[in-house]
Amino acid sequence: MITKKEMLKYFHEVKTKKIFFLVLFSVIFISSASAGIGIRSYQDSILLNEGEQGCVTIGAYNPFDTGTNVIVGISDSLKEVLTSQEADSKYLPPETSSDNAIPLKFCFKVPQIYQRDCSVGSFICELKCNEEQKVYDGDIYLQSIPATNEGGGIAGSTTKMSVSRPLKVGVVCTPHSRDYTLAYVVIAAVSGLTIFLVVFRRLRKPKVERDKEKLMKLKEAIRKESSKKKR
Amino acid sequence: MKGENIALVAFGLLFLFAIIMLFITQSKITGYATTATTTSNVTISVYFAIAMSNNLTSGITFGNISSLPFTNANSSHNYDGVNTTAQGSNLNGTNGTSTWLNVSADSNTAVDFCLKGDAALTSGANTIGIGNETYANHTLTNFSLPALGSETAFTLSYVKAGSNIAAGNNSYYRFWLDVPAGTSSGTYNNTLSFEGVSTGGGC
Repeated sequence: MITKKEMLKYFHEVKTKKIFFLVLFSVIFISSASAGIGIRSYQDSILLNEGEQGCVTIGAYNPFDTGTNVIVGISDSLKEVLTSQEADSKYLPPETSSDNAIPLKFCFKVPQIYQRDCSVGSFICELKCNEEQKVYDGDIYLQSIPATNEGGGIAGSTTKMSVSRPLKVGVVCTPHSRDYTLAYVVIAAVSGLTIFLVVFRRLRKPKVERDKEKLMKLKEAIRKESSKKKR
Repeated sequence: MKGENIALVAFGLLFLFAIIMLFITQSKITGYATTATTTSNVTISVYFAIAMSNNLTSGITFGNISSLPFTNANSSHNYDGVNTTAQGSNLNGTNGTSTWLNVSADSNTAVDFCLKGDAALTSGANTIGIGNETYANHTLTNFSLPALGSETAFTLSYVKAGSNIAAGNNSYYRFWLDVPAGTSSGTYNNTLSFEGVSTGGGC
């Protein structure tokens, strides 16, 4: 036989256990993982010509239960050589799997990095490619937009999170002989302009004047002919 | 008049020469070639995802400090998390840390974590050096772990803090702050960065 006292003790124990698990669950829930960032890389290196624009696509995903905003960027070591960076920022919805990663494009342009031998300033140059091919190492990363610090008037730190993958950028050196294109353009322009000015100056004279000049020429020719006959 | 005509012809020839040379340099003629190619490719992708605990996302705070100097001020979430490992008779303790980084199960590589401070803690023109902010990390947590005894000072460049964390696992962190004597009153803030890289990769 179970006494009333034992019954009460049993219910008290069950209640205590319930409260304990409720508290435990709450603590776990409160401190559970929030928004996350995932990176899926399809290429760790890219080969480009000088002056060429290249784009790297990486996949972004968020298998966690809260959506987040991310930006894509490159490490400082690559910023030194790559110009005109165009980066996407994107909202990553919650529970996106790696198989459904959202493609994010990062585009950049490689400037002229190989030493050229030029005749006039930076014109009429040749490139011999005696140096070794240049390869720049760095990272491409996805970064969360930082949260604001919850503390007001208290010392503390805001936190931000990122994921990164290595990225190598190789720059192809294509040798070429001295390029005289600019010199030819300048010669064509100068001679063309001169021809135009001479022809224009001639045509600019009034018709009466041009006829007078023709008449003078004719008179000169007649005078020469008549002097020949006299001889 | 005669000289002008000669100049006109000379410039005409020069113009013609420049145009012909431009045409030649721009259209380089190559020989005939016949080739047959086929492509072969494979894409190898590496993927991993990380997340901060809610308490780490909302920032690291050290409360109000009124007596200086103060050594090892605890972050407000150093001891309010669920223990992942037993400590003595305390099997279900809740005095572990609640600041951690998780590697998602949807990852095909283990992850190393890197930490850095972006600047010293700053309040107007006053600062508390970045080296005064410290952390310790461990793959488990209870009252003793991560231990104050293994604290490391933050630096301005990334340093590895948690290596080879497998998919589905956490790296736990505790944070402390040393406030030197003579520190001016104020609210000191900075930003701490946490980066995940695939195991073995550089920060």
